[in-house]
Amino acid sequence: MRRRSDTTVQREFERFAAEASDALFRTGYLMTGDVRDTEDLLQETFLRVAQRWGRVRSMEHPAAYARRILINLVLKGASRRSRQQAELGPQPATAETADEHAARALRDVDDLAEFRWALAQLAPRQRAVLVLRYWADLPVAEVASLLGCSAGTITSTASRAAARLAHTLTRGEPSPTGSATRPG
Amino acid sequence: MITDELENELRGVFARAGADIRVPPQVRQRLLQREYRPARFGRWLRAGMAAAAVTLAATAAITVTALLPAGHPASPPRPGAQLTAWTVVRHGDGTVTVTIRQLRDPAGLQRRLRADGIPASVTFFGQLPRSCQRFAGLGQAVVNRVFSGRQEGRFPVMVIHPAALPHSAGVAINPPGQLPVVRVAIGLVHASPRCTGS
Repeated sequence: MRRRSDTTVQREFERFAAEASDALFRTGYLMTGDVRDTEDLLQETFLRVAQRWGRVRSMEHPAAYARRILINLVLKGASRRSRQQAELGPQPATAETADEHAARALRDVDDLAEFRWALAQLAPRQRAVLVLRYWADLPVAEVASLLGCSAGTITSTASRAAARLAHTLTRGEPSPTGSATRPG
Repeated sequence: MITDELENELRGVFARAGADIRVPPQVRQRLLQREYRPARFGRWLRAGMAAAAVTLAATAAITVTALLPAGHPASPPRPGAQLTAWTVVRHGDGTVTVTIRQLRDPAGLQRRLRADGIPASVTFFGQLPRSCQRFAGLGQAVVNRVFSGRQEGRFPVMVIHPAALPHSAGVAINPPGQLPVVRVAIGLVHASPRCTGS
């Protein structure tokens, strides 16, 4: 009886992992820009979800819980490597113009691999803000809570990151720091 | 602030760029084929349930649970009350009792078990080493002959019956490094020089 229950739980978890893996991979890849890092982070995410599966399985949105674990793992890894606080500075005075320019550049994106490459050139914290807000579609307050800063800092960082993204896209120049690999 | 126009463009381009990502098949395969061992219960099993938890199948872990000593690892031991991280005792009937109190020195425990003639792999990070392969396909009765478990105070005690080990099988002990509660997993693996030392 117990064996049967364990098998059921195992299958239930496997089904969850199979269904959630693609979306989680996309989030992880957009945040890290690296396939190998994403695989490692996703594996760790599944391990942690499995350890808490007895509780997670009864949640309304287990995938959202897994995504939150993944995001925290990415941010923890990024904070070890980065010098990110410097990235969360005040918005430039010409923000309106910069936003218009960025919106135009993003509207013109037709090579999505190029876009992901440009995204990978951003500082980890800037990338995290954009991915959490505009891919994961989290509210500003939740992104601020995850990143440990104010809502105002999130919006100004998003604007600044978009401007840098647009600059990289239009100039086609890689940032001197950071690297990215593309999914095979 | 950020303009609505820019936010709309960002949402649009992220939706397209994200949807365009294809998960490499080999990555998906590695991710999904890994054994994650989902927990049945919302919390680690409490000590009173430990004895019932030792009758799992060969391919699954045997689960015994105990609270770690308070103050581990920083508090100084009281005179005469110092606890070793683990104890291995070989009995006259050939059985070997392993008591784990703290998740320290897995290599020492592994050496000790091997010295007692048990092909063993011990890690304290909650999963099998890559060099080890689970010994699948054994019946419940075989597993129950090899392992049994109980609680002694707050600590999990595993009893191994080496004579009942199937040919070419070894023992893997790999509790996850969770504090303050430790879940000790023990199972059968294929014996090999890289995994179990012989």
